[in-house]
Order: sequence, then C-alpha cells, then structure tokens
Amino acid sequence: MALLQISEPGKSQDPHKKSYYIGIDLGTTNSLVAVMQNSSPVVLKDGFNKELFPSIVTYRENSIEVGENKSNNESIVFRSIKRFIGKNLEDLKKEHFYSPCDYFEENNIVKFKVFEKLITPIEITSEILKHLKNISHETLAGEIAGCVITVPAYFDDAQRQATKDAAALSGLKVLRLLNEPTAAAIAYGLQSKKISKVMVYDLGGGTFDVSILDLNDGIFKVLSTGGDSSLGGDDFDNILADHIEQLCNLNLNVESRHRLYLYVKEIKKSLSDNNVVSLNLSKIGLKNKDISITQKDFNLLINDLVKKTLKISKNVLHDAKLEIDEIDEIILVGGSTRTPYIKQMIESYFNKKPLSNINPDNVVAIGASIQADILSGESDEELLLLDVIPLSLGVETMGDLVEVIIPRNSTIPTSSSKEYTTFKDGQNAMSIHVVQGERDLVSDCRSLARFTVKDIPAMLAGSARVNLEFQIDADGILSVSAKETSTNKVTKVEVKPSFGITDAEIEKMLKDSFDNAKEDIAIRNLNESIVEGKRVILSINSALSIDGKDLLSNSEYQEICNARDKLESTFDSNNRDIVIKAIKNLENISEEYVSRRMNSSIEKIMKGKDIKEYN
Amino acid sequence: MTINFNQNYFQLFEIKKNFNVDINILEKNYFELQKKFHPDKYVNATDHEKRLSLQITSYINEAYETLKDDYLKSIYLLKIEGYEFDDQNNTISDPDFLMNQMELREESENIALKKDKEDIKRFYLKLNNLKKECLKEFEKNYCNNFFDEAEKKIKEMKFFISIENDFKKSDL
Repeated sequence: MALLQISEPGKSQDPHKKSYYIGIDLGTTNSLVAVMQNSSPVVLKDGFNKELFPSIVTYRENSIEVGENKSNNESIVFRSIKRFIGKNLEDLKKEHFYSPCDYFEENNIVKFKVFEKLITPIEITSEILKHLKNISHETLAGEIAGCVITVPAYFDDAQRQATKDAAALSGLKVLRLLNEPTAAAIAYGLQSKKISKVMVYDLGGGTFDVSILDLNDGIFKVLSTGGDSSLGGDDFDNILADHIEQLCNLNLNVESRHRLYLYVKEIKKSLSDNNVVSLNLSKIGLKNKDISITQKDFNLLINDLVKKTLKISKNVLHDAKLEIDEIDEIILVGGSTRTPYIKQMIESYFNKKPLSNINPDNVVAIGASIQADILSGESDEELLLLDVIPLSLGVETMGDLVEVIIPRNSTIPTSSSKEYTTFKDGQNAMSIHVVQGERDLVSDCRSLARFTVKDIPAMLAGSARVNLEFQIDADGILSVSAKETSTNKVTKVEVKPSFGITDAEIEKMLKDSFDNAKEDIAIRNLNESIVEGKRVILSINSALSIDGKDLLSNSEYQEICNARDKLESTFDSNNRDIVIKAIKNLENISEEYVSRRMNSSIEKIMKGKDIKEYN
Repeated sequence: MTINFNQNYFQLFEIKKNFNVDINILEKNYFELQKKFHPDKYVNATDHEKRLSLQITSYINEAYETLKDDYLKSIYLLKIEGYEFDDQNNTISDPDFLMNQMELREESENIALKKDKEDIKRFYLKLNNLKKECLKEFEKNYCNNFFDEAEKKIKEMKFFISIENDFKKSDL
C-alpha cells in the first residue's frame, strides 16, 4: 500500500529545493558520480551503498536496466560501450570488442539491432548517464543543474561530441568536458603549483592510460598521452585464475571458471593487504585443496604486464620530450593501482613515490566534482583550466594532402579562418573535408566531418571568395561557418559529421526517448496496479478460508468470490483503469465482511476477560 | 562583456609594440584577460554572452600565441606596418641563400639516415643558431623600418622551421 508522505503543516513540500552540480566519471568498466558538499567532495552511493556503478546496459523487450546484469534470459547486454562511442566500423576492427547482437553501419554510425529497434552507442551511453543522474537526484534530493563529465585525454572531436550528445539525450546539462588525467590532478590540488610536470598512470579494469601534463599557473596542457586499450586489472584476474586452475589441476567448465574468476578478484584484493592467502575452493563449489597464494607468487605472475605498462609510460614520457627526473609528481588512478607491486615498481622505475592517498577509483570523479563546483560559480576557489586540443585539425587539399588549420596543443577556445575560392565558372557549392591527426596524408588521419558550402553566388572561377571560420570551443568541439566575402553573403554550411549524429537526429532521439519514457511509465503503472490487485486477492482468499463461511451468508460469499474472479480476469486486459476499477469493486463488496471480521476479532479478544483489564 | 577587436595584439595586452616582449608581463595580462572572459566564467550565462566569451577568448588566445612565438610575432609586426606576408608566394631569389638551402636539406637527410645521436644534437643546435641569427637580423631591419629586408628574413626563418619540422618527423 502506498505510504502517505506528510509534510509539516504550513510548509510547501520543497521550500528551498537545492540545485546541485555533479562530477561524472564515465568509465569503460565502472562509472561514478561525485558532488561538493560543505566544501569537500563526496562520492555518491546508491540505495545499496555502492559507489562504483558498472557501465553495463541491459536491454529487454520492454525495459532497459543499468548495472550488473542478473539474468541472461531474453536480454542483450552491452559492456564497455565507451569503446564504441564516436567510432565507425573501421575503427572498431582495430579494437577488441564484443557485440551482444547484430550491428551495422549507417552514415558512419554503428547501429545495434536491439529487439526490432536500432540503437546507437550514444543512446546506450545516455542510459548510463540517466542512471547516474537518477542516483544523484535521489541521494541529494535536489535538482541536478549541471555536470562535468570526464573523457580520456586522447578523445578526439568525434568522441567528445558523441559524449556530449549522450548527455543531452539523458537530460544533463554539460558545463564542461574534462580530461580524466586533468581531473585527477585537480583532485590532488596540483593546480595550485606554479609549474610542474605530472604523470598520470591510470590502470583500470580493462584499459591502461598514461598522460603527461604540464601545469603552468593554471594552464593544464596535455603534453602526451598513450596506453593500451586492452590491458587492465581483468588481465591480472585471468592470469591468477589460470594459475590456480593449473596448480589445483582443475579442468573447469565455463560456469565454474566464471565463479573461479569472481573468487580470484577477492583473492587479489586480500593479497593487497596480506602476504599470503589460503584458498578456500569449497566457497565456489569445488573440492577444497590445501593451497595458498603468496604476494610473491602474484607479483611474479603479473610481472610481465606491469613491465609492459612501465615501458608504455616511458614511451609517453619520451613523446613529451621529457626525462624521468623531470617528472615532479606521479598520480595513480584506477582500482588496479592498489596492487602494492605496481606501486613499488613505479616508485623504483621513476625514482619517485607516487601520490595514492585518494582512493584511486574515486579520484577522477572527485576532480570532476571540484571542477563542477567551480564552474557553478558557487565556489570561492579561483581555478582556470586552459585546455589545449590534443590533435591538429586540418582540411583536405588537392592530392590527399592535409592543410593544418589549427595545430595541436593550441589553447582552446580558438578559431581560425581560411579563404577558399571556386574552381569552375558558375560553381555554387564547395565541399570541405575536415580531418584530425598529425599525419600529412588525409588517409592517415581521422575523418571528422564533411561540409558542403552552398548558395555561393555564380561567378567566374577564382573570383568567389569563401571565408570559412573554424571555431573550437572550450570542450574541444568544432563548428564551422562560411561567408562569401566578395558579396558578403553568409552562405549555408551543411554540417555532416563523419561520426556522431546531427542535431536533427539528436532531437529525434530525444523525442523518441520521451515517448518511450511515457510508455515506460504506463507499463510501470499497469504493473503496480496488478501487484496491488494480487495483494488484495491474496488477503481476501486468506480471510475467506479462515472465517468466510462463518461470517457470510452463501450469497454474500458467492458475491465476493465473483468480484475476486472478475478482478483476476482484468490482469490480462493491459488496462490499468480496468484493473483499478475491479480492485475498488472488490473492496466495496467486501466492506461489510471486513467490518464483521473486525467486530468478531474484538469479541474474541474480549471474551472471557474482565472489563477491568481494559481500564 | 566587451572588447575592442580592432586593437592590435600589443594594445590588447597593454604592452609596447616592439620585437622584444616581456614574457612575464604578457603572461600576467593574458591570465587576467582569461580570468575575465573564459567560457568557464559564463556557463550559466545567456547564449549571446557565451558566444561572445567564445569569440573574445579565441581572439585572446590567438593574440597570446602570436606574441609568444618569435616567428609568428615577426609576421604580425610586419602586418601592422601594412606588410601582408604572403604565405603562398614565399620564394627566395637570393642564389647564395638557395645554395645554402640545398646544402642544409642534404645534410638533414644524411643525418636522419645515419641516426647518430651526437650528429642529431649538433644539427638541432645548428638550426637553432641559424634561426637566432635570422631573428636578430629581422629585429635590426624592423627597427630601422627596412621592411623589405625584414620580410626576407621571415622567409628564411620559415625555411629553417620547415627543415626542423621535417627533421623532427624523421627523428621520431
């Protein structure tokens, strides 16, 4: 039964409904959300006291669920969707990815076939964001006025745009996209340093990223970035599981292997605090053996992988033209950096104790929440992040060559204009191909967008002057405008992003999601009334079996049974109103019965007792 | 929120129009302007203000990067004097210089092939000295209002920079 919410008399329900600005770490494996409260960052928890929300989206015929997938039947489960965002099929071939359903490419966007519907990675990502928004909304009991979302430093224009699109779709206002390593540096308060070079070592569940930042009086510059998109803590688990399987001479089927894999995660965690852990295989339904794993064993097992991360880090340092001794701080990010061996190896390799006192799972979300607070204007802290674009932007010219328009590492926002002219007499349109990357050949760069400049006044070849202005905003996202300068006519630019989606498409998706939301609510309401109906039937049945025959005449008894059966038959009607009407009907008909029951039970209690006992 | 887009970059940062720019003052004033106009300060503002902030900070960033970089600054100084540096048409007709140019190209290719660490270091140093010499000449000519001569020096600079960039690519 619904509980009544009672507010104090004379007060409106929400006198000062507070609005919050949240920081979101949208991760490949897990996502987090944090907020500043009383000048300190707090990572938000859901109703189950969890703060790491698996970035897993499960589609069922009639519902969408975010989080760990509990049942497998009739569902399509998307994991690591971050690997797909802002990419086309060609890019995905280079990635280790697994699709739970058929997919194809349309207008350079990957589309999944999910129960008759076509779903893009942007929509799937927006489900995760919606979930985080709901959690924040519930925990904070306030409006979510805006957010800062973190993205990997190497994310290009298309991936950044797609992330923003996903946020728009989930109804979140994005104040700023923030680079993950920059967020980590903010969490440690490094922006207050005058000048320093920082390495951010981020080892998550499935990905490894390393970035070198140059902090110069409030300017955060990403000097270089690198990593391995298929190296992470999950690999440690697999190696350890393999080792145990061999050691115990096990030959496991898929299901037992999965249980072992989950168990191994626990062992790995306790090996961070203990020198030796003895195995308890009976815990996962296997015959127990007297075997234990030492920290040393584990270190030996993961040694090659750890060395690989150090080698990558050194290469990234080299890209930034820095030597090991020029690094001022190393920051550890990602749950896998809890492994003591990794800390030791980093310390000895770089000859510097890494910063790790902030929970490495939370550090990015915390940085994002600090930035969100500053951007909201509610904080007193003066911090200005002047970001740079990670890759050069250029335009295709004759012969597959790239002409750089905005060089990499330019501080953003920035703009640049270029003048182009027509090639033929009377030419009235011009197509422009924008690419991103550092290579000379168009085919070696990533295609970002193709623009068509239309309505150019007909003139002799070479006399029209089309001035294209490229504008990059503070999030590193490009927009283009065009003007014919000889006539000063503003020409139309048709922007067709090679990746991501057009504004019109976003609008359509947004509308679809509202429509779906309405449908979702209708389904939920129907289900709720059916549950209520079942509850009423259950209590009627149990009452009838106790005293129905004693308190009711035959016809009365039959009347109630009829109303009950009628209610039961409405459950298939798919109509909430009919169900509710039938519930009301049954309740009305049983009203007399209910009052007789109350009287009779009072009589029973009173019977044989002295009236004095009740005084 | 407004700014005069027609003032030159030196006026924007309130520094004297000169080849020698005090980097500390430039940076200080640059940060001041960013603090005032950066889009981060206008996240809750109207669309019009946001667009304005975007335009202003783009202008500030371009100005800052121009004055910070000797080559870009040189071109800009000439531009203020009405000498539009033609990016496309930058041929140098001085036969001596052309000769040097060819020799330097050849040297760069040989060193890139051999990959001897000491040679690479020495070559970078050589290019650096050539650029420095070039800048010095530019400054002298510019101060004496010999703008044609000054422009020639910019073209030479451009050539050294392009050799350096190509060399960096092959060095990676």
